[in-house]
Amino acid sequence: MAELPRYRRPGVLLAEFPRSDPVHIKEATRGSLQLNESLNRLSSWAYEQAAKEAHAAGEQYGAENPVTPQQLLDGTASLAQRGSIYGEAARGIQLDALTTDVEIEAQGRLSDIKGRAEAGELDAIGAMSEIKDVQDGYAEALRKVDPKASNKFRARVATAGNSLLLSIQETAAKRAIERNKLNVDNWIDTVAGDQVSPAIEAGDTVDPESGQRVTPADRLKLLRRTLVEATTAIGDPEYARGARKRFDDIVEKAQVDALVKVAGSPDFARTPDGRFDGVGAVARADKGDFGRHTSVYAAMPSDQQAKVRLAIRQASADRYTAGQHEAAELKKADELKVNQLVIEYPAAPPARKRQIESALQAISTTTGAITGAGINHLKESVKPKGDGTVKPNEVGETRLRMDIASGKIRTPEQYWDTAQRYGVSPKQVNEVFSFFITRQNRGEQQADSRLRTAAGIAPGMINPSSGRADAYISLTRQLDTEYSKALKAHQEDPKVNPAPDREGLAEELVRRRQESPKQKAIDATLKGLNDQWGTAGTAKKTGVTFTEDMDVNEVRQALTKQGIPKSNIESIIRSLQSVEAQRRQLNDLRQ
Amino acid sequence: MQYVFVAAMAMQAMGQVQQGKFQASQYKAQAAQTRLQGRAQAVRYEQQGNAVMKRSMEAQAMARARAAAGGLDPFSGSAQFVQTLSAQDAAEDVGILSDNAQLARLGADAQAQSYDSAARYARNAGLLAGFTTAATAAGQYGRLYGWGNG
Repeated sequence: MAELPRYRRPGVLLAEFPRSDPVHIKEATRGSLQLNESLNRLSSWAYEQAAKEAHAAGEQYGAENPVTPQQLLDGTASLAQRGSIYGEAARGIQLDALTTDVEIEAQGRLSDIKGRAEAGELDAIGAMSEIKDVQDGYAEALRKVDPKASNKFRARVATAGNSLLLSIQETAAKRAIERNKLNVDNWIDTVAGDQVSPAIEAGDTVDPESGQRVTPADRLKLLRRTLVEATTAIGDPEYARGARKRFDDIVEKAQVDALVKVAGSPDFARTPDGRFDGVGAVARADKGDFGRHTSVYAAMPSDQQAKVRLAIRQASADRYTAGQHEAAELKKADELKVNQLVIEYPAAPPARKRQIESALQAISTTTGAITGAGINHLKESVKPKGDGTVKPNEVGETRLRMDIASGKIRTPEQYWDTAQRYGVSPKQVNEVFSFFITRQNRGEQQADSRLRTAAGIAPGMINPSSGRADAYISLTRQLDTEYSKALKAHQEDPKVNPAPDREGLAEELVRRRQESPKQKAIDATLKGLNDQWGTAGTAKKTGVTFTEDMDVNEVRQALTKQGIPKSNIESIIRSLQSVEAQRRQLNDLRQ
Repeated sequence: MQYVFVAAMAMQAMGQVQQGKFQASQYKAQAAQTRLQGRAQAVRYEQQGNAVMKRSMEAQAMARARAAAGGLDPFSGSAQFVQTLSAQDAAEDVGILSDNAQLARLGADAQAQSYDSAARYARNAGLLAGFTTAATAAGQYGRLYGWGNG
């Protein structure tokens, strides 16, 4: 049987479930997102605006409800709450205003501190404590409400407080310095009156404990050291210089006053009749001999020494005029002459005796170095007595005078020995002793006169130049040194070493000085200057006489006035300066 | 300057509204097209079903003819059985194709509805965007110039 055809299935399958694309959801989502975005923008903007309004409102509230510094310190400060724009803004404004007020109040308190410190009511330590109180008090109170504002306040007030403290410390330091200066000034004034003058006037003394010599310079050095320490501690070099100079000026004046006072005393130089000897005082001062005060004078610079000498001369001149000085010097010369004549008289032949008597009469009527009674006594002393013999004591006295006059007797010891050997009575010994002294003085006077002449100091000259005074002092010191040496040698061996003669020594000294290479160089330089530019100068007659002790400034002025070329003037000045230098070397005892 | 600002903001708002409308139109067009495609697909399935029915009928006819030609009763026995099988198979396929057509129609409708909804959303979104832009602009304008100051 044929197979019956049947329906063949083509393999139809159920179609896939149609896949739907949820476009509406996507669109809804997209729309929502877009809307959300738009709303975000809108709300952001709205929030921003609202925040601004809240901020402004907060600031308004803060401004209308300020907190005072006192409330802050009392702990009753009511600040806006944190956590909102409104609150933060309000709080910020309140804190700003508060910080400003606190700073103003702090500044006020600092100003008050400054004022009290400047008025001296508050010292630096007290000020520091109060500044710290101001700073810490407010800063601590502020810290509780706003640490940042507290830190800011602390920083600002610390800066102001530090500068204030610095200013107060500087003021205090200045005040302390001023006070110290005042103390030093008072010290100087007090010391000047109470200690300087007594320290100088006491002269050289011996410390009873140590046995060491204490000079016024030692005492002044101690005082000056005190001053130096005090002024150094002040730390003001200019003031220190001024104070030291003031002290030095006081010392200088006190030294001059003390030496003038010493030299003005009759004890310093007196006439045989016990009065003050002005000429003798000047002469002694010129030699730098101030007894116990010699060290004071020796330590003074030459210009100060010149001041002392001038002051002594002026003080002396207050008592004696220049004419009286000259008269006194003439009288002294006459006294020497009288002594010479009196010594010569006993042994003189009659004719000579008459000459001597006439000369003595003349002196008695001029300077009065011998009186008429004295002349009569002289005449009587040589007249033969009664039996024509000369009393032994009178012979002895004459021999004694002869020995003194001849220089055989040089020391008091020799004098007394000789007088005893000649059998001279004590009364005569006393009378003749004044002759011995005068004779001794004669040598001294003549030596002094020689030295003064060599130094260029004319008789009666009130104020010799510094150069002449230096030369005179140098010569007298050399004379004293050499005389002391010679006297010592004589005392050790009288047979080999004759007794020293001051006059002779002075002569020798002056001769050596004049013949010294330096003096010759000085003379040659001056001669050259005088030959070329002096009163009869070959280059120009200037009318100037060049000497050792000229003031170069005066010379420069004089020569400039006369139109001398500057180069020539400078050359002349250099020559004079060379002379001055050589003269200084010549006067320097160390040379 | 404020006029430029107002004009710019207005144009931006209008643009956003217009954009929404355009988007909605586009979705509407897509919805229509989707529906059309679904109908076309359903018709294609129905045509396939018709073809299946036709082939089934042809097979039954041929079976009856052959049975008759072979001397068999075309309406009983195996001949009847073979025809019944063909009819059952064809009915099954036609049912599947009919379901497919229904699915195509329903799926397209669902998609089209989605596009319709998307169109509405797009239009509304455009409107809202335009509104928010306008509102923001109004606020900014007020912030800038203040109301009543212009």
